[in-house]
Amino acid sequence: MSETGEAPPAPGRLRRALPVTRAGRLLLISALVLAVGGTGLGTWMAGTWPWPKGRYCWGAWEEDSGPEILGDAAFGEDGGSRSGEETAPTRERPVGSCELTIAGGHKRAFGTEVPADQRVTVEYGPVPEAAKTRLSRLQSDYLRADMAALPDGLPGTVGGGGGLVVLPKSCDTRDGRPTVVTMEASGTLSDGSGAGADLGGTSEVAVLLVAAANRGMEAAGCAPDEPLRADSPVYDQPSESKRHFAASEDLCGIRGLRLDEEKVEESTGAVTRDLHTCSLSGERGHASYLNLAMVAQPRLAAMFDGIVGERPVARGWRGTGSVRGTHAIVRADCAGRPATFLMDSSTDLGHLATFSNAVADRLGCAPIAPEGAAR
Amino acid sequence: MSSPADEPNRDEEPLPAEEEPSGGRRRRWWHWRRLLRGRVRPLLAASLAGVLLGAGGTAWQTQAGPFAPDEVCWGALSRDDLASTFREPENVEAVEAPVLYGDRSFDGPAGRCQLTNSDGDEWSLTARVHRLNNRGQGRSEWIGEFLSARLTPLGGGLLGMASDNRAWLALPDGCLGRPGEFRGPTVVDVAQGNPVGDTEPRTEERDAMARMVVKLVNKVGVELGCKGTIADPVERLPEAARYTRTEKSNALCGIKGLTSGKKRGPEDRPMITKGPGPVRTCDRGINGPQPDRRMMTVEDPRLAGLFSGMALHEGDRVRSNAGYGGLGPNTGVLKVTCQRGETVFLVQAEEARVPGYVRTLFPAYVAAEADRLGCGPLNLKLPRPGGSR
Repeated sequence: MSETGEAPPAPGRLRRALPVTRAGRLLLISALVLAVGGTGLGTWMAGTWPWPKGRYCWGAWEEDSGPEILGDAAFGEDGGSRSGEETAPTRERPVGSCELTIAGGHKRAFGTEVPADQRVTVEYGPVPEAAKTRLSRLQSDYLRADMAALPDGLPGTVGGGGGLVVLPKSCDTRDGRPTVVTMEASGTLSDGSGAGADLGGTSEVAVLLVAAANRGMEAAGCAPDEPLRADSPVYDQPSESKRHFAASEDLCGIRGLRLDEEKVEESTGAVTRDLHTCSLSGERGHASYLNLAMVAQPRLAAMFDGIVGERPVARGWRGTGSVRGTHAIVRADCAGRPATFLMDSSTDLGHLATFSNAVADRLGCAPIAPEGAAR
Repeated sequence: MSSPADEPNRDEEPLPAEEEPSGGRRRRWWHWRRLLRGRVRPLLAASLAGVLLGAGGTAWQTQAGPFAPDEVCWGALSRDDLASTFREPENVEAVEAPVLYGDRSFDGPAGRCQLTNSDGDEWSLTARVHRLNNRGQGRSEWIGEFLSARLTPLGGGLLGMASDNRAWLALPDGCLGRPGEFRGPTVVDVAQGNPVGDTEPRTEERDAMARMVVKLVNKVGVELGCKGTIADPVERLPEAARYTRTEKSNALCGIKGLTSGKKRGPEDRPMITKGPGPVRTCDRGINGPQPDRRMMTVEDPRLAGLFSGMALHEGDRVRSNAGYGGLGPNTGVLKVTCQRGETVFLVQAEEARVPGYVRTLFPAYVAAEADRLGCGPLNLKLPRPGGSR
């Protein structure tokens, strides 16, 4: 017999809202089952399971969010693990760092070992106050010729193993030093020797770097209205380094740039109106002979504000400059804006003279160094 | 109680055991009508509805079945993208050869897509994926058509250009690696009809071609290991190039001090690449795949590989402290190392039609352009006229 008419003596509000008939209840239950099951199936298929995932670098990097090092691709065949350590910047103390460690087997690709034990370090903070520290930290590490410019006009550089981005003015210190976010990675092979890191290509490094920068700025309370974006690929990458076996050649395509070394490996990085880099080293990157850079992108150049001196670097030079140990810096107006020329690993101003005059020629401005200053 | 099985059962039966029909028309338990009796029906209806909804939703989400996208050329171009190129974009038909590429392939990825309107072949548009090569078929036609002054550089550091009937864009270096010294980049190019075009450039169509080639690279790149998405370049594109009327006789092609010492007629007007880009081309008489006269500087080192064969074998040897080249009656070519890397200077004209043109202008053109790029002086050693190699 049907039970439908038997309403409970004092039905609660919920009870009244529910369907009265058995069929109605069944329909409701089946609909619910379908909805839950369907959603579950959908999330499973789309891989958007709603359980919390590992987050690193102040929450900027989420596991499986795209970049290779945040997914299973970072591990070798036997799987692996990720762990992180971090200090987030705050409004009171806008300095922070984070470290992501990936442990787990080693991949082999075409007979060469790709390290899967990797360590990625991100640092957030103003450029160092001391001139020498600043020069060695910024130029030697991030204005090398194996780095490309960040995409989408972002002020910074990126390479296969790390990069640097200069944050907007809102994050400058009170004394006007820009804040930068840097990222560096290193790998370890199975025999314990060090190796370059494999972060899945420069475009992914750029994405990781910019994500960390955005999160860091939020934490420090200086984020711009629109977050920084690096959607475009790193389109233009540095060419492979070129070997020279004669001391007489024009290195980095710069007439008259020579070293008294027999074997020189040359690499040219970005060559634009904003940035120009040239690195000279011994064979296979051993021994850095000379690093040269020109920076005219305003925010990149701002990293060197306050350490360019007040007088010409030597007699007859345009602009101002200073020499600090094996570093030299010169800033002069060129084609309507200040251009900063940097040299490291050498004390011979002749090299800087040759380089800056050639670049000035390319940019269409007057020579920086006087005639005869070039070697 | 019991009820005839073929009647709709309006009563709710508490348990299957109690609802067994007792009459002679009792059906076997597996009969569909029995199976479908009672509470099973709403459940079934609900699940059917659920399945349909789910399937429909999935199809919609994954763009399958009736929701399949109406996009052509490897799924890169929508009908809207074809609107300024074809009169009836909805009737455009595509014939596609997929982009094939193996890691061991020597020739790089290759693919082809042809779009045709019902109007006939004349309005067909061909998109190709291929690696530009140092030698081989079609190389000089490609250089002639796709590096023409009619094409506007896409800007933003992109290795690509577009006109109202031609466009090309290289895949980012990050996908397949940066091309080496004797290899060109892998490009996607789009061509429609005659490369000559009208005297008045059609800017809207040029913009559509530029947009198309970026969309194609973004789509094709996914399969080739590219990361990131190239943004629409159209907003930053300058006006399309036209024949200039303001050339001075002592500044041919806008290069100060470059003069041929000859009187020029109105048909001599040059067209010069608009804005900075991978090449600076100055063409005169664009009446076919090759212009009548061309002076070109290939500034992007990734394209220099295309000219290495030419620089090695063309004409009599030209030597320089920074590179090598050749000078013949119709062509002067020099490949040198500049600040950006390998750079090529090229002067071309038909000796029979403009005697002495190449020989007169080549050294001066090279010197002026090397100076502009900050890689002079080159100390050219030219072959003696009529001399052998």
